[in-house]
Amino acid sequence: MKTVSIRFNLNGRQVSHEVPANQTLIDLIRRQERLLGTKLSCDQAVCGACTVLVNGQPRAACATFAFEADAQDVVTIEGLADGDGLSAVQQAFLDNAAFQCGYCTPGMIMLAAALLQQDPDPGEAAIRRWMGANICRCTGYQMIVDAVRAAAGAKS
Amino acid sequence: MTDAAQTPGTHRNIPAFDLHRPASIAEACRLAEKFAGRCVFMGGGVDLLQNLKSGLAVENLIYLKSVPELRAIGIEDGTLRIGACVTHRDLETDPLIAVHAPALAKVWGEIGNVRIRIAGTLGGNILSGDPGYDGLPALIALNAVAVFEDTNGPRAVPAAQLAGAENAGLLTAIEVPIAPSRRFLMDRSLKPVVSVALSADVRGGAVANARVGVGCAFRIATGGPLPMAGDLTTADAAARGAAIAQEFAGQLPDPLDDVFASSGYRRRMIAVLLARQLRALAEAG
Repeated sequence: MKTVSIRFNLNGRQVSHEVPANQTLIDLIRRQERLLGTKLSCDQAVCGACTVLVNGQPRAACATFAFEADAQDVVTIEGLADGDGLSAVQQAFLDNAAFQCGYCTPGMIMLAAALLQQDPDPGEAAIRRWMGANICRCTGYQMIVDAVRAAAGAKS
Repeated sequence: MTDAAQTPGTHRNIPAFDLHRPASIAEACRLAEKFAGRCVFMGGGVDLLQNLKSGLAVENLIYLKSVPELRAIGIEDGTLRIGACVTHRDLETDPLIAVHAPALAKVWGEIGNVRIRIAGTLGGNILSGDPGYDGLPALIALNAVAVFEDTNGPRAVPAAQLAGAENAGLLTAIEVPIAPSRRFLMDRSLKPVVSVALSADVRGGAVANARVGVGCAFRIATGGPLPMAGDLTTADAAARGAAIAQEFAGQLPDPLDDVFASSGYRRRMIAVLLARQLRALAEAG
């Protein structure tokens, strides 16, 4: 079949779609779901700007098929805040000015959120190793590391 | 707000294909037989999606993440059985691997980045044909066997003979012999020039059954037993290591000559890295 019926949890709500089998998850998120926080950049799973969480794990949405989300739990940057209350990671990025142009920020925040879910109190070396999966082309890495450390402190 | 059609999508279109989501190895094998020559298996999709975006056309895509058997890790009779769709992240974090192959878990926590380790599978890694990938040299050193299946049954292919076996059927598992005495070292510091993996039994001061896998330096990772004249003890592994490594490197076919390094440099570095590893074995006792 060239189209697939999928049903999955997106930012806490059940969604259903009939998707072309060859559609990527980022196109489903941005074009059908209209969630524009997830950014497309390299389109080859290298930069991490499109990072979303699938079952709590960071995945490049540009290199994931939409059908792979079937029956899974997907969280995008729009799913982190609780109403007007930012998540600890979002607040820490704000407090530490951990962005310059901001294009990599949603992916960085999702990546950091996954780290803190798995390791609530990572040291700086662990933060650098984990966050090394995503690229900030403005090279504002120090503030990003500071923000993740601050978010860990705020959570623990 | 713009409508969906105006929102920019992925830059490169993936050609349409028929999707199949088998629930078992047997069903996957039946699909592969039915669509022989017109299908591709997808594990983590790390390489496949890029190939599809670069123009690879596929009529039928058989998605293997829907087969739970392919995600299993188990131990039987001194053999670690790793399902073909076990991810790099699983290898890094699985409790069984941590107990029975801790050195493998440690090396695997350093390949790619965490996002890639979560997506990529061991099976996809060794079948990708990318000479720079780490799976094959590691598995050659570890004397692993790749198990393929088709509707006629399973077939085992030693990791060192994997070249040309890509069409042997569905890769279902990788079997790695394990023992408490087995040591494993992998030096990835000179990628993409060379990578060298060494495995050996170290027991009572003796080094035995040493095997080497070399990545990056050939079209497909190569290697095998490390020939040694007479017994090697940990005490003299440091002293004799350089000569043994040089002899091994000298007997390899001509390494690749490309923009990263000359063939001669690669051969020399294989010897250097291997000598360091033999010394490390000696020092660790």
